[in-house]
Amino acid sequence: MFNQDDLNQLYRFCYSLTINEENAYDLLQNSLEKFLKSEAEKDSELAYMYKIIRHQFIDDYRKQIKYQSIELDEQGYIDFDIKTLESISIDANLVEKVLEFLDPLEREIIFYWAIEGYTVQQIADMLTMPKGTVLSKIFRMRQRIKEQFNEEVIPQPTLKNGEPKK
Amino acid sequence: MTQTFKRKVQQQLNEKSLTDQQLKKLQALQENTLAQQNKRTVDTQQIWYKTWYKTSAIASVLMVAVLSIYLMNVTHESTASIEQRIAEEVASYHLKLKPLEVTANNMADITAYFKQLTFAPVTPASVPLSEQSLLGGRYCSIQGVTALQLRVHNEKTNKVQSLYEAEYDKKVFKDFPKLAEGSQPITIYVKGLKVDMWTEKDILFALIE
Repeated sequence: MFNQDDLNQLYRFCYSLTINEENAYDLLQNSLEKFLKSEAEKDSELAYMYKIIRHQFIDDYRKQIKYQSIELDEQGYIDFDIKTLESISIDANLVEKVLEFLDPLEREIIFYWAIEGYTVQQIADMLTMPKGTVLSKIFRMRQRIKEQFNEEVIPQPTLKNGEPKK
Repeated sequence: MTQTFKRKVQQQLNEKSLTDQQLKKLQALQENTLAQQNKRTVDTQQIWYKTWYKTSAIASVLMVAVLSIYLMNVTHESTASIEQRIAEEVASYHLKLKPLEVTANNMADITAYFKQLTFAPVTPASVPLSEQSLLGGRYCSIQGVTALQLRVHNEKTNKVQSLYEAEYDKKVFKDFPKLAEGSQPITIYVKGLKVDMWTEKDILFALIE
């Protein structure tokens, strides 16, 4: 059984995917029902629930919202480090708009990174993607934010040694 | 005011939480589902126990029945006299009418064929068996002792007789009347058959007609 803190954490995950409180609750409820009916063995109930929510979300919304998965040249951006996201400064009023602007997969990455504190490898494991693909998506996400919002609040990506990328 | 993107995302998402009503609903959903699952588990266990109980009861009755039959047999075997046991054994052979291993109308052919016997098959002097009515013979055993079963056709009664011969082992067969000493054969009726038993020349004979 999930306690109050777990349920709220799961709700935030649902919200990060849907960016809508009502839809987030529906998504959580539907996923919880599936979880409770599931007889599969669960090493981690919370991690298993994240997967159910993710699949439920895709089932519910993929037909309505075109869920784009942009494949990039992973090798070209492999030097991009997720830690560079931490150095981004952003106006307090802007973050909600940024989240709304991102697609669900990007918000999912943001959730794992900002709320759960996962590493790129852990995020890749959760998304069942290669680590390089996750890094590419992060790079693409930064680029899209940069193009859409004020460049001043989004610093340039840095190399792993911390130097600005030329 | 600017803050790090990560910090702001955390603040933004952590502000989101379920209402009390939503929380209660989700907790009730979990509790109800869990209660139903427990009930199903209990029901399943009860069904399993009932099935197991019935199966066990049937198995117990069968075991008691089998054990009773076995004990009856054991008791019968241990308490029945050696004469009775031999009579029952040879009577069962007689009724089965198993195929003969060799057909022969004289004892010489019989003796030539049954070489694994520890005695030489003979025609008992005390019983008027006609060699012409001899049909053949087969190996058998009487109380674990290798024996010979001869099948004979009784011309007078037009019935088939069985004559059994085994080396007389006193440890196994105990005391049997010796016709040479003027004793009469032991006669026991088994399954409607008359079984005569005696010893002659260190051979135990049993005749069924």
